[in-house]
Amino acid sequence: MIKHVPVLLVAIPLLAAFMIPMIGMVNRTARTVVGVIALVMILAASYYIAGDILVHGRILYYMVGSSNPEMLTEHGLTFPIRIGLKIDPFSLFFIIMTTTLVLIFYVFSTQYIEENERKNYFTVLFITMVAGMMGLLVANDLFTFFVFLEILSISSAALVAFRTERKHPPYAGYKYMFVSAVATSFFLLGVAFLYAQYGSFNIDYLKEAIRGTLLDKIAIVLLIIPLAMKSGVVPMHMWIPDTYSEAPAPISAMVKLGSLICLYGLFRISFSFGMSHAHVSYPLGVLFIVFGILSMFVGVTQALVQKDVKRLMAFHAVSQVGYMLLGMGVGLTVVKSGDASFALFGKVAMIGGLLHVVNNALYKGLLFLTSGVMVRHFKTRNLDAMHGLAHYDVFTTVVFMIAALAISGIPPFNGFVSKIIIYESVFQYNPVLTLIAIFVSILTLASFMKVFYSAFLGMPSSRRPMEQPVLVKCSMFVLAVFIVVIGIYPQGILKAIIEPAVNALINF
Amino acid sequence: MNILQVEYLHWAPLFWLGIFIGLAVVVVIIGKLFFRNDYNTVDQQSLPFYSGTSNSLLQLITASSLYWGFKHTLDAYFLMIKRLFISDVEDFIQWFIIIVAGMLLILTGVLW
Repeated sequence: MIKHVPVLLVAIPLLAAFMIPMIGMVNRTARTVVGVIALVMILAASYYIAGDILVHGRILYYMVGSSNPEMLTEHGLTFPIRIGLKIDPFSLFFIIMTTTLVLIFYVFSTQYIEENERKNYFTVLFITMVAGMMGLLVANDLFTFFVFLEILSISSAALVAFRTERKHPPYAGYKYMFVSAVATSFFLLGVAFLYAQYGSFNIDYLKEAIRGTLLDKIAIVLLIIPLAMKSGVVPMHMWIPDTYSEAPAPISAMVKLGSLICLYGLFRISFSFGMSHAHVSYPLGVLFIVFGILSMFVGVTQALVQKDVKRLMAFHAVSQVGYMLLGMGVGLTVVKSGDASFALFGKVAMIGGLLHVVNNALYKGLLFLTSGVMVRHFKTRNLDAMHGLAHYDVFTTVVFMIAALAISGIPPFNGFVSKIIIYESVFQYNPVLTLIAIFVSILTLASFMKVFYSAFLGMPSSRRPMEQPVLVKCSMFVLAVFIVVIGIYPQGILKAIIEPAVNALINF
Repeated sequence: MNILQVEYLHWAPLFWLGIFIGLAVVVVIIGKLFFRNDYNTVDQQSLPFYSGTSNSLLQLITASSLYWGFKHTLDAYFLMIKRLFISDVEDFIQWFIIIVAGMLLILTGVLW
């Protein structure tokens, strides 16, 4: 059974997405339940394989269409197709994070998105988006990766434009689709460059075959820049505030998660293809650092002056990507240095960067969900028109505070843990980078103080207080619990998941 | 370098949380013992003082007005950012092409 998990992670949500419209026509509750069952199944599957992969170091390979799916070559294929799937500790880390979060966001959306005939579309697109994410994470060949990148992009764009009755969401969806189309076209060009040279799409094969030629370098650039654009790296970030602010709250969180999965692709390709050649890995690492610092600084300074709560949070999403790039960039610069730098601080910087990915997904997800609650209560995204929410909604106030303190790097929440790891390790590489990172953290705190002061404090609002539905509260509560638990006991996730993931990225 | 081996502190958030709660309890006890509790809470002396403002809603300083000094100081920077990123689809392509070209020049060794 375990050998089929890679394909099941994609097949289950795809099958559910096809079933949901038909079920939705008969019974709306059944449609929602089918979505939950599909997401619970992939969550269970990801935890089911975790022990084998993380403890015993097993790597799952799957060749779709083969009579023996675990065979690595095309021999024994029943059909002349070669869709190679693979799960190693690095992809498993992202899979566990994704399957956990999509279930929480879905549960939130079941009561947050109003029930009408369009909810069927919403559910189908949501589950298709999950299938796209899963496909990206298990793909072991570049063409399959491209296909799932397209699936993710199309479903995301449609969900961003979900509220078509309003003026701006369709425009934001179009913008996202345009950015994605440009990015994936260039990505496909990069894939073609590698295929033309080596005759294979397989990432493992290409990793060994790549010789660091001029064409290889061009291909690497064409592969990683589209992924950087989809991750929201400055200066290719301007689609993010437009998209995140117009999407419904759970979709903002999902698109953010999709960006983090593109970051997975960026790291996978950079380390797989760049690491074996120091003349590629070093400049690539330096560029990661430069883009990281730019993203951190531009993102946070832009966030600080926003008065639209969702745009403010979107700019913070840009800023937080900078920390991840900084940690991973420092690791990439010293990974082939031949001296003790990598053991001394490079690997720890990568661990900090990866921990920040999951931390960011948690508190950013929670912030987007709370922003949805705020917007629903005040009927506006304008912070100037908000005040006094804390008088009625203590629960949202508390979870918002937890998320805001976490993103600002305040102990004992999870953001502090990943930031302190990044600060300490990056300090040994270059102290100035740490100083910039700390400065950005201070501005982040200032920015969220502004939100808290504007929306939660002050005179009570004249609007009738709205009781949040149970599932909306439950989803936010679970995210808040994760934030606190990782903050108080980070050793568990560091030892069990993050460290094996970093080892896998370097060694496999 | 060990993960979470901070130079001067041992990573024990529960310990620090305990210290924080302990200090909070001490402050509350001192407050109960020594602080005044005979102030009148029913009249306006417990409200914040905003000179000349009678409308309670105006007592809230809006989000746009916060950090005005910071914004004012960095006016030139924000203007530059506005000019650089107009958030038009042409803008996306322009930046995309610039970054692809720049990275090609760096990775192929022309600028490195």
